Amino acid sequence: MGCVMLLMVPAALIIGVLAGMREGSRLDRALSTLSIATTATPEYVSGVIFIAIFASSAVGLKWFAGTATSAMDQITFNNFTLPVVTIALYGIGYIARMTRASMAEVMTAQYIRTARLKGVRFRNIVMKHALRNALIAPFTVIMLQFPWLLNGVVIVETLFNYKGFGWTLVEAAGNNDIELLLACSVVAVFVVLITQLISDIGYVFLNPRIRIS
Amino acid sequence: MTSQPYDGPILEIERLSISFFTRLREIPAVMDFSCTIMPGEAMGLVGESGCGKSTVALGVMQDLGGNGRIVSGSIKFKGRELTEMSQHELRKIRGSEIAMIYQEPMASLNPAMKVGKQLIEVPMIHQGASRSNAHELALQVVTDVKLPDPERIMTAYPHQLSGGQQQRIVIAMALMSKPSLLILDEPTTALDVTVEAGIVELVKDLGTKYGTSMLFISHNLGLIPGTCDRLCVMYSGEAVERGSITDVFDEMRHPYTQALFRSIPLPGADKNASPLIAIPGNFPLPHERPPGCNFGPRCDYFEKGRCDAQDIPMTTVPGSDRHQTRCIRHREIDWTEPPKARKIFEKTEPGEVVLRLDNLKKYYEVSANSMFGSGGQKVVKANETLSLEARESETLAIVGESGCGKSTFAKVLMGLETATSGRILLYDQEIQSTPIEERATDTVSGLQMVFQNPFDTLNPSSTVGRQIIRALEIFGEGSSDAERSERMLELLDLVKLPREFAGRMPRQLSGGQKQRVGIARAFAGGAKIVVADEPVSALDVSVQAAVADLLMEIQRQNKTTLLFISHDLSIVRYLADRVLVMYLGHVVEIGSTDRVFSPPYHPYTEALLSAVPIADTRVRKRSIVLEGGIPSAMDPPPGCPFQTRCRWKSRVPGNLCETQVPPMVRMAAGHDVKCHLSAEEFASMEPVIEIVAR
Amino acid sequence: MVGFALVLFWFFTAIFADTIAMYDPLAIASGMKNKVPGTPLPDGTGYYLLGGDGLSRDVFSRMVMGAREVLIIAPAATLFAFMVGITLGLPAGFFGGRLDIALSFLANLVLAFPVILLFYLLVTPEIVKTGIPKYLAAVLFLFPIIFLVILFNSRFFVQPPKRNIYIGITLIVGLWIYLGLAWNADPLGIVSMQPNVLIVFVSVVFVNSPTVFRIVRGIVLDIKTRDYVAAAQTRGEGPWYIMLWEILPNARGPLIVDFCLRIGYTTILLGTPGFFGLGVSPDSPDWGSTINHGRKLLSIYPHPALVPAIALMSLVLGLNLLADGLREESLRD
Repeated sequence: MGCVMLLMVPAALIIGVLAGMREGSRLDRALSTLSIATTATPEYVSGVIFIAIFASSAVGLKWFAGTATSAMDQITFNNFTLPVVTIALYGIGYIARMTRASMAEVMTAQYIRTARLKGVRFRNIVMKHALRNALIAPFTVIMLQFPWLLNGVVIVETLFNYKGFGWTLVEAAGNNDIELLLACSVVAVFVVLITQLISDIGYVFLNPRIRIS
Repeated sequence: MTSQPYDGPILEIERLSISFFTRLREIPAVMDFSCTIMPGEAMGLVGESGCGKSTVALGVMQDLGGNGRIVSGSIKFKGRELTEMSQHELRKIRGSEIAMIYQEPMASLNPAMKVGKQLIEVPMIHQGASRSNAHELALQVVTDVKLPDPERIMTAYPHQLSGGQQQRIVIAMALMSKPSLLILDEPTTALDVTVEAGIVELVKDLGTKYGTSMLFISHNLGLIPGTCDRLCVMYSGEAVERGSITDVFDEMRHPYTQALFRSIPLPGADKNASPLIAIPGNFPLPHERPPGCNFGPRCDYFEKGRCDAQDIPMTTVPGSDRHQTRCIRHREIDWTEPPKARKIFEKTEPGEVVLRLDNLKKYYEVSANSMFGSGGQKVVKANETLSLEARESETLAIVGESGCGKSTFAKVLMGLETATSGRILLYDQEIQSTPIEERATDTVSGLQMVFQNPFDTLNPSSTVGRQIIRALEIFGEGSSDAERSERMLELLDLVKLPREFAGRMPRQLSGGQKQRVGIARAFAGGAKIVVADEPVSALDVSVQAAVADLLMEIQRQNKTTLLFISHDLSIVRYLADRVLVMYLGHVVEIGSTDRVFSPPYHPYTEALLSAVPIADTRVRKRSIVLEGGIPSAMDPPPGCPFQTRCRWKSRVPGNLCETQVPPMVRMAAGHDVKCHLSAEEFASMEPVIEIVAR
Repeated sequence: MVGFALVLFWFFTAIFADTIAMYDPLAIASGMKNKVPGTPLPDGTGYYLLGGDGLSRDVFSRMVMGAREVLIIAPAATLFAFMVGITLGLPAGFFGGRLDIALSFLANLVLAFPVILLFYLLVTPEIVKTGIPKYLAAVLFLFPIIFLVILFNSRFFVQPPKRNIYIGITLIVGLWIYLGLAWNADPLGIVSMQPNVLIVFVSVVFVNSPTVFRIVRGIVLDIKTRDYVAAAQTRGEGPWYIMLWEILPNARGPLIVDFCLRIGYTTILLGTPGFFGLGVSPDSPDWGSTINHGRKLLSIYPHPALVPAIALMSLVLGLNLLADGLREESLRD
């Protein structure tokens, strides 16, 4: 999960900021289309496609391993890349779109024009003036991704045969083990609530207008 | 500073044309615009919304956005052509030699950056100043713009400052590198009048102190005489007249300028004896401009075959200092001829008392700390002991700045809120604690409201006719659908809109037309009392007069009582019979219009009168600038609400002002003032506004 | 308008699925097991255009019939989610206060719950036995009826005869469908829903409505400060008229955009239980379960899984592009 966040968040933010800083440019169009395409692809579809392309023994490239079972003992680039990329991809598109929208809005704000007419360089406008304001909105979105991320974890673990949290869940349901199922729910909800708390604190940190007095 | 000695004109714009390009067509925004600003000179640029005045400013800054382009003409800054500069050269000029100030101070400051950091950025970019040098300079400029406690302000975020303070910071930011040219785009429009007066004064002083040339853009003619040396009037993308202030104000040579001055309420205008003259027709849309003179279709002096035959060039008025006009007939027109067809009305006598307020109070409880909800309750005193009487077919104006409680008063009266204590008597019926759902239908239909923002007053997804019919339905007017739609058409006639408008959507209407629909809707149930909340302040000047006159006319026909809420004392003086001045929830002065507008004043009324911009060179004003901002209603000062800003406070013995709320003192019949000042002090007051006869 | 074209393509595919599909999606033709696309049938009657799957069924026909499944359930579930979200979001935003706090808390609670858990919980036989899914359905399906009744009542209460007709029709039709769907007790026996599908449907509505609720609430908070709302209040309109006839029509722009996005999202969600073999019957041609079946032999025969995967992707992509196009269109004026 940590790996996923590590890959997903920076990638998404960079894509979003690049696309949003010059709305309507060619770069924007290309990146937007890309992020729409990835949001349109659920994990169980992208996972299947990835396995078909990169791991299928019939027609694929055979770059990576199609299962992550061995990653439980030893995580390697070979067996762990596909699952991580699969989870991250969906989130990247979503967060990148949010960031883009927020960035594009900030770039049309009056204070950006003020900065431009102060003679600030474009690079500095983006880095110093726009970035912090543009990140306020997507920040909460990133944290709200967590329930969805859990979803992805379950799917991907099933798909790649990784015996983790999600796999336990599936097993529990399969065996009609209601206690285990409820326990899983409690753990999941607990994790989600913690992230919500972190998101609220981070929001206050980013947005100077909210201060706990 | 890089400013090498240069004594030619600071800014020379010649035959500038700017267009915006949409997918459908080219929309010319500015056409054939020329002007020159000399060093140290302040140039005013005046016109209604959509006339292209802001586009000129953005053209000078070379910041027209993606779809705007300079089509032809040249802009020279200190002799250098701006239109041919590279991005790099432009960046060196922006902020260091040309600076710009906008309308919305809150929006022009970065909300996530400390004020100080935004200020020191300017010298750090342009002069390569070190952080500490820049900080020192910033401190000095912040002191120059008369902000208290500069050190603290520097470490504040923009949202922690008031609107006036924010605008001062924006001005400070513009002055950081001592620019040669300062462009001010409606710098005070979003501010209250007393705050506006302070900013205008500051701009004037700093202009002299720093020797900066200024381009001052405003829709308010009244601000120009005090701040500018020269003036340029724009109409529909063209400059129609330019010259010195006295030339344009007193010897205008363009019919539009003349019509504009005739449609704004100057001292001396009176709704009965000398009513305003609205400019007929509507502002042309940029792609529907008439051939020839743009003002032609609305002009009294229009001559077919000449005015619409060719493009009209700018011509010089003989015997004057660079006074030019874009009128082909300016030598033929008798400019001294008084306006014809001025309707004169009988003054209507007010009838019986229809509405009486007795010690009305409205307090709100808010939790001080909304995040945790445990910080204890705080009380906002929105209205404090409000008493008044309003008579049939009378216009009572309620005047005050933002936060004075006038909107709360309207809400309580309409029944959207209930009063904390006190009484409201409507035709001897107590309604202060009856919320609107419990009021009888005829009480509701008899007491209606006209709203401020024309773009907001109509539901955008329902036709004009449908919205009026709904009002008729809910008021129980008419027994069948056919009857109601007939009545709806009559209402459109009443507000002088064509009947075809019934099927139109609100977005197809102009601001003035929407406001008329709003009025028709308010009168759907035959309202006897109408609360008009700033009904004309969001409209362009030329439309304001027409809408105000419409309200007056309906009032005369229906004997309506009009409660006219406004911050604009000019229009209040023009159409109100009686005036009530509010400050921080208190009524500080009430009386007939003549009495309120002449001494003795309440000290607040005095400052308010002095702050109102008047577009008349004959008027001499005493300048009274209030220090500080309006205190928060959450935390009002003890004693007299106005004591924190009052200039007369020292004349009251002891600390009476700080400890006791003053009583209402009767000055004359029907003129009350809430003040501790003695009768002698009141007698010593001089008028704020004087008309110097010439 | 690539998005519109894609959506339209799948829409028509779903409508004419019977004509387009060449074979029964459940029919098994011997000798066609895992055959590559374009293989002719051994009896010479035609081809399996996109090959055969692990049970020798026609992949193409299954894809086409799957489109129909998806395009019936996804928009319907989204519509129901909107009804619930709107009916609760309007008063929460409009009245504020305790109602708002309570409803928002509830919405956040549901949102904090991973969808997949919900699927698992609701499908588990023990929970089904307690009847929770059924009661949930009973509550959720009631909202459209409430919504329509309030809608007509607030508008026409000044004209009672008109109102009675509208409300009468709503109640009769609404309750009939309601009985059929929620309780499987349609007196005429026409409207019904398989219990498995019902569970999936209910959980999709359940997890989507809080998001709709939040969107509606946000828009209402913005619009209720407008003068035309105040104008309606000062002429004595009831709160529900203001919410449904003054505020809602002006919120339609963002809601329509979200509706398109949400159908896509729902499509993905609907595939998820299929992927785990939950809910829908194992033979059904819906895309999620087809992918699930296909993935077991993925590294050897990719096509049975790839075809529905691409179908699903293109439909969702189309919906997303359509939503984006609509948003840009609405920003223009």
